[in-house]
This record gives sequence, structure tokens and C-alpha cells, in this order.
Amino acid sequence: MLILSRRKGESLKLGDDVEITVLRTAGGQVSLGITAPRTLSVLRGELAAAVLAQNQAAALGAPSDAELGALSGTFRPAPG
Amino acid sequence: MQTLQSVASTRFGALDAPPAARYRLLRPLAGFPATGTLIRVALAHQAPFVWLQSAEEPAVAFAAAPADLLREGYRVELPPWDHGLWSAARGSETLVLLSFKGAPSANLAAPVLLDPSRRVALQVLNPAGGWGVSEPLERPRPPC
Repeated sequence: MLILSRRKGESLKLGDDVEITVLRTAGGQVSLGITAPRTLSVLRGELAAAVLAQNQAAALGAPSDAELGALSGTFRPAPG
Repeated sequence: MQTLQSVASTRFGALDAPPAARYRLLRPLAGFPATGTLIRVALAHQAPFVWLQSAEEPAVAFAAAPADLLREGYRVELPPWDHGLWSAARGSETLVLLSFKGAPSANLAAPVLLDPSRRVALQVLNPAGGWGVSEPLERPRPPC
């Protein structure tokens, strides 16, 4: 892992198109400004990890046919 | 003429998937880079729930539900980086993956969109609504 120190107002360039600027540091938090092409996804690391973990939980914890069949009665729209 | 594709599935055995049931993922699901196509499997006795079976990984199948069935007024906002990938088509379907590991839950933060006209699918991070990845699986309450 590359480790760099930056102060408020200083920035990092990633390739030609991405720039990350330190805007503020306070109370153990760092506020970053990110300039990047709209086509590039910028996600909080914990959110990306949570989606990955939940996808894996969904595959591993898929219900049995009987469980899903039983639940379907609860969710089926009432006849109108 | 419809070309059936036989897909091996640990859950369903050999699945004969017609083209209309096959959805090419525009981006792999997080955690499943080897899955490029999802087969939508709808069983009458499990409606309105459906299955999304990986065409490439027999052991990978997701139970899913229409998002608006779980939360009334649920809507998806595409994040800016997906605008070039996805354009909502008539008949598009928004599904959320269910997990029964622990208390049953639904991932309302990252729904899977299906476009039956192009037969493509995309899991997106939905910034609208502030939904979580593990919301309780419950029926929306009827309005008072």
C-alpha cells in the first residue's frame, strides 16, 4: 500500500482524471473532495463491502423451496 | 424459434432456460465475478417471489422479490456512473435479493434491475430512500 501524507487543501491525482483533495480534518474525520468522471463509481468502502457481504449471504442463505412457498402466501396480493 | 439453454443448477437440477429468462449482467454482482448471466426462474407456488439462478455457477441462486411488493413507493435512482449503462425500458423489473441467513431480510440498497427487452440485468446502488442492505422482510402496511 502506498502511504502519503497530505494537509488541508492538498490533493492527490489518480491518473489524469481523478483528483482527491483534503477539505477538512476535525474530530478524527477527514472530509475529502473528489473530482472524477461521472462514469467512475465512487463508493464508501464500507458500503461496497456491505453489498458484497449481503450478496454472499443471499446466495448462502437462500431459503428452501418450502420456506419460500410458505412465505409467498403472506406476500401474494389479496384478490381484488 | 426459441432456443432453450440447459443450465446446471444445484437447486433446480437441469434448467431449460428460454431466451426470455436469460439476463446478461452488465456488471458482475459484487462477490460473484464468475457469473455473467442470470436465469429468472418463476415458480407458480412461490409467486410473487422469483429465483435468479447463475448460469455459470450451479450452486449460486438468489431468492428475490419485486421491490415495490416490500416497500410501497420504492423507487430507484441511478447513480451517475450507471447512466451510460442503463436506460429504463418499458416493462423493466426491479428485484431485491433476499437473505434467510438469520432473520429474513431484503437488500433494498442494491436492487437488481432486469430489462426484458434487451435481456440485460444490472445491480445498482440506490441512493434514493436511504435503504439498507439488510431490511426486514415484511409486507407493507396498508394505508390507514
